[in-house]
Amino acid sequence: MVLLVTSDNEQFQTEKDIVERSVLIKNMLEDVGESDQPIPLPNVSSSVLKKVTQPSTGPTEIDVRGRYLSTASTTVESPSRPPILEQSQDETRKRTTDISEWDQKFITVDQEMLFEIILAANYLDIKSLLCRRWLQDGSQHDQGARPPEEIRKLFNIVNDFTPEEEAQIKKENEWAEDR
Amino acid sequence: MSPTRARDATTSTPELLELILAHLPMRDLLVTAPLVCKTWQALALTPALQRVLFFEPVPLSSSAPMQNPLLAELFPPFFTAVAQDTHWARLPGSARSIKSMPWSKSPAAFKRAEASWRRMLVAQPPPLTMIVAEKCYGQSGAAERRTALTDISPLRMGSLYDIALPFADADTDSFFCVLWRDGDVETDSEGDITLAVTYTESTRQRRGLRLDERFYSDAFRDHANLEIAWGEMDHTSLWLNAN
Repeated sequence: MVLLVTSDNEQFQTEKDIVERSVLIKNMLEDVGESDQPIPLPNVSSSVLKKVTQPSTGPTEIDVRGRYLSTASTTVESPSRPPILEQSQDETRKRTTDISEWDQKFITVDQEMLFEIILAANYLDIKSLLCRRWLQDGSQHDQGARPPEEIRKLFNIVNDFTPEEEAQIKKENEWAEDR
Repeated sequence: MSPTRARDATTSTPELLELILAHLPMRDLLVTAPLVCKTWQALALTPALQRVLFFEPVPLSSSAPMQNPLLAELFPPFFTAVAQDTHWARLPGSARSIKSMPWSKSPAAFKRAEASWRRMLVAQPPPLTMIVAEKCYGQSGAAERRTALTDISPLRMGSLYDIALPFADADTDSFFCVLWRDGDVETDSEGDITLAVTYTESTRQRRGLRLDERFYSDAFRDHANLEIAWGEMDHTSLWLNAN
């Protein structure tokens, strides 16, 4: 067991194999060696850590970087499924089921928590962070492209295109819009 | 950290945004992401995301290539699997099937020269060579000819479409199909992909269904006249039964 201390000073007793999903913690443990000292996580709150380390529902092996971002990868996965690396076929199939269940739960997490989880997973260097479909939480747009206005609202982004620039970009990709 | 700060920290970290975008459905990444703002437009041009979008090739791998799902959806005759014993007149590619492609009723967005489907790779990793095999059924039997196109590497949809289209747009009954490498490189040393074409040498002229200019891209490049240099006639059965 490893003792973790979050930014809000809560202590977590966590299984070693679970915390070692985090490359950050794994490296820390290797540096420190066997020790009862708590590991401080000043950038992670207790509510987020619970989400990230939940052994039953948390994602485990999904590489957010995906195969196209990882040049070392040789597996081919359909982009509609999360890319899974370093696993046997059987395991991959099992995981895929686990993931879709987790995916469902993940989508029900509110939007702010989603951003916090992403940040925490980035800080902890957990490959298993899942952000697939996270923009589809309303699942209203499963069939086609979500309008850019909605994305801007979600991310609090200001449209900095002129109408002419927008029209030019649209021209190239209009063929792929819903029809 | 407050919720808003978490969001802003996420969106101002390009590495994180890139990860998020890489997991969007392909259509969202292609159509919506570049329209959000200039930062997102620039992000969609990173090598990693260009690979996700089938614009830049991924490194060769030992597994079977993955067809471009967006192109497969909108250009079905080019991506339909064909069984070995398919009758030549039931091949998926024909003037009729081209005319009934999902976009055929509003071809303007497809026809314009800058439409991005033309730059898209047909599969990842992309085919680097293409065999064009033509079989003609005439009164004196079947004749075949074939050629390897090497100047199409890596194969993008614009080239495949431009090369295949004239074969379907003929005065005779003509059909085509695309035979995809199924991953076992050993069994097919000839080409990564084969465009198989059949037609009849008919005594009756003008039987075929012609395609009007709506189906030709403004950037159409006639490969048939420019680059297809046929090899010798080959009478062995190469790719389909002549039943």
